[in-house]
Amino acid sequence: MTQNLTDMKALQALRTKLQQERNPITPIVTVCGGTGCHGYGCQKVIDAFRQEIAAKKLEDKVTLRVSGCHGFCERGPLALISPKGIFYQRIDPADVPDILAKSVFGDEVIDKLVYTGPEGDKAVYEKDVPFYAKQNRLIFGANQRINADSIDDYIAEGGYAGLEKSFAMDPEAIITEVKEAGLRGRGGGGFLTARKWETVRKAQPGKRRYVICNADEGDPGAYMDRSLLEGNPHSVIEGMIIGAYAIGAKEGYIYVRNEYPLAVKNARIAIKQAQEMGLLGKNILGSGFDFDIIISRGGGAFVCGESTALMASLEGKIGEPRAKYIHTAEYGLWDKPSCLNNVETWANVPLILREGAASFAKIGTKGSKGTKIFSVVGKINNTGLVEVPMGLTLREIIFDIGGGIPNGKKFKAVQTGGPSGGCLPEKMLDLHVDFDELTKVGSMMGSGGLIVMDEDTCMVDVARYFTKFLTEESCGKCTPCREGVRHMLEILDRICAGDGKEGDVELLEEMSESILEGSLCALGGTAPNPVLSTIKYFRDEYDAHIKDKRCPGKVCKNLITFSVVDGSCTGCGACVKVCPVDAISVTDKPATVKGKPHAKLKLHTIDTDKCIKCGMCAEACKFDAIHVE
Amino acid sequence: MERQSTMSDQITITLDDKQVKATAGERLLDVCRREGIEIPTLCDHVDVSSYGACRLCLVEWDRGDWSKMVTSCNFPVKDGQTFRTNSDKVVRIRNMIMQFTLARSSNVPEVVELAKKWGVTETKFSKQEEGCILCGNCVRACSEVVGANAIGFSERGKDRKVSPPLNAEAIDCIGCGSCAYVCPTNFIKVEETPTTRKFPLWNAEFEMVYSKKLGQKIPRKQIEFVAERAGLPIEHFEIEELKKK
Repeated sequence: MTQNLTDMKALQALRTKLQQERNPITPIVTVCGGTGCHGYGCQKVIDAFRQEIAAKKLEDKVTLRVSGCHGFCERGPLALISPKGIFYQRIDPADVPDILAKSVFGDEVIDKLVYTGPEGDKAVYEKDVPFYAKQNRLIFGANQRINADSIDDYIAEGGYAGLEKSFAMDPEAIITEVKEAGLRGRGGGGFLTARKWETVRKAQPGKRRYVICNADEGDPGAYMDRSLLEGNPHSVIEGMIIGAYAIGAKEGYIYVRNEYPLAVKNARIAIKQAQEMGLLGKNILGSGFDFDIIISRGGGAFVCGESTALMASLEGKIGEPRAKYIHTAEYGLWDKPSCLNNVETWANVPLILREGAASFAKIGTKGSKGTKIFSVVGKINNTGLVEVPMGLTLREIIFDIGGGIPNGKKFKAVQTGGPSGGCLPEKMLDLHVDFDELTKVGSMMGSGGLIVMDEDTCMVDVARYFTKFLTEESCGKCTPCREGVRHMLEILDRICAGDGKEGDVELLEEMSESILEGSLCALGGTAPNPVLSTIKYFRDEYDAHIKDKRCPGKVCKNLITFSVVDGSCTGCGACVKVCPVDAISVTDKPATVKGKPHAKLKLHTIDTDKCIKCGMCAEACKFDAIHVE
Repeated sequence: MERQSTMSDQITITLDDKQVKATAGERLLDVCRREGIEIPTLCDHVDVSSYGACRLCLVEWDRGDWSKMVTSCNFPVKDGQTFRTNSDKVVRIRNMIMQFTLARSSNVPEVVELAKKWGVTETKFSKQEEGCILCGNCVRACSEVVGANAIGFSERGKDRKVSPPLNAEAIDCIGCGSCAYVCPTNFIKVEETPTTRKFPLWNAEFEMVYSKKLGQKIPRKQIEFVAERAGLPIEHFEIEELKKK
């Protein structure tokens, strides 16, 4: 159903109608249809629900909603049963008839689908699941309440009410509202959004100008922007319309990477719906304001998330950055004033306008207002997307929400801010996460990636991993980034291979200054951060590699050896079966079974010349008889 | 480009503690050179736009409480700004970048000479022998001056290079040789015979003709290109075929 909304009253009437149509008693099963859950096969669960509902003719009795990401990716496929609030996880398609019969229409809880924590703690209702309990899902929470492809759901949820309010305001007053909310850019830099808007509004009077949404999320492991655009594209579109009205733009672009097919698809559907309803196009809601959005798909170069490279790519040129001595806010896309904000920033805008700056500014810290979505990945029990108020500690995010480190391992470090962020050690866990605090300790907020590492991690190897990523993603335009970062990688490769030299760490530090300060754009300008932060907080590991030729994390292959522990080896031969290079053989000595030398079974041994240090034997051994040193 | 259409404003900036006059929006590099301050460059060329890639022209922009490194080749000056062209930080960073460049092009005389002039005779990094320093002067000359757009950058990061489209023959190349003319390291080679001109890097070879009108040998394709652009008949150039010896 589409109708052209010719004025604000028509939108309000539609919202009221949609809300009335929604019977609060009718149960709703919301299945997560985010990309993460698709990886777990949620499509089969969704199909099973559809079939069961059709077969039992339950169409009028239950609503099936396929939503965007719910955040708790670790436990997919997920479903939420409303209004009861029951949270089911790791659902198999075969569970579907039971879910409907017992939990939707009956009062029975299916135990095997209930969340069980690492310590055996159970939670039936979503609000009681520790992963969700400490979150404040202002932006991301709506994902669960709307069908990702339904504009009706969005409007019923209060969508486009922020736009309504905006049209009743002067454009300057909107900017003031965003300023008073204290919104800072969620894409990395944390620049004050309202200040950018102000500059764009005033630049080149009378000339055409643009709003752009940066959906070129490229940090390894980070996917909050994808999940927002997939699950709630109208929130981004509404934000862009409000921004465009505030700065006087008539055209907008969403620059989204082509590797995000579901985000592209849902954004396209949403734009078409908004156009059909008269929320995009000419004379939006009778306000006299014209605005439309075009989707531009990027090829996936990391550097295209940088504002000037993104705009070059939008123009059809090679995606490489230029100097920003003249800001893109004044001379950006096609040399016109351009307002670039990332997905999450745009999604915050409707909320600020709808609820008011004051209520937004109440959340967060002095310098960082509102919430932030983090993607918490790595060695962590509850992998997923987490939205918390600014100022929560790393410990709360990683341990209370994230559930801590799996397999009883110890926490070693957390990398914040993506590839060019920094690695923070255990002693920083009580840091209150916001833009300024992270910068102070040598890391950054970035787009909100949190990669958790346990005691089995080698921090030199981590620095090498990120440096390699940046070497491959550098556009190659300027010398410090192209050549400098490549040489950093060479030195790190050498250290990890056991060929580190005295002075390597000092050289890395010395080079870093020139790369940080001398590079053209922020990619090179932050590229040494993984190296510098690991040197700062884990210097002992560098020294162990260079001086003692030892890898404390037992990761760097050239610096570790595998051996069989006499007294632990039972001679079972499990290791022999898995060794891909036949490096394990038996000795003449007896193996130890139940503490005693065995009459027949023999102690095994590893030929270190043949051993490729793959670790398969250690994994296969049930008796901890493989020693790594 | 319609950046700062009126640039006639006379302004004062501070260069190494000395007050100097400049025009608003003028390139900092030009102001420095006018004041007799020498600044090394590799990717700056008078015939093409500033690019800011080689980073050797970095200077320190003094903001009072803090400072920022900026490339003078593309920095438009404003009234009241203060710069240091020879501070410890500038020297340190410039020398390191010089070492990066020297490591890449350790066999290129132009690079070795420039580095030596600025006191860098050795590099701490593994050496390569890359003739191309990726300044992009050739790409910009082909695009901005000639308008042929026959070559461009391909690949990225350490694999970046200048090449014809798809590494095939540069089908839009007209053989004018502007790329070779602006190349600071003489990497772009032109092979001439009495009747042909060849660019091995662009996989392109051209038949040469003599234009009586221009009084010189010139690729036939260049004449055709110019004639079309100028709306002139080919005959205007009074072409004579060249005899193979």
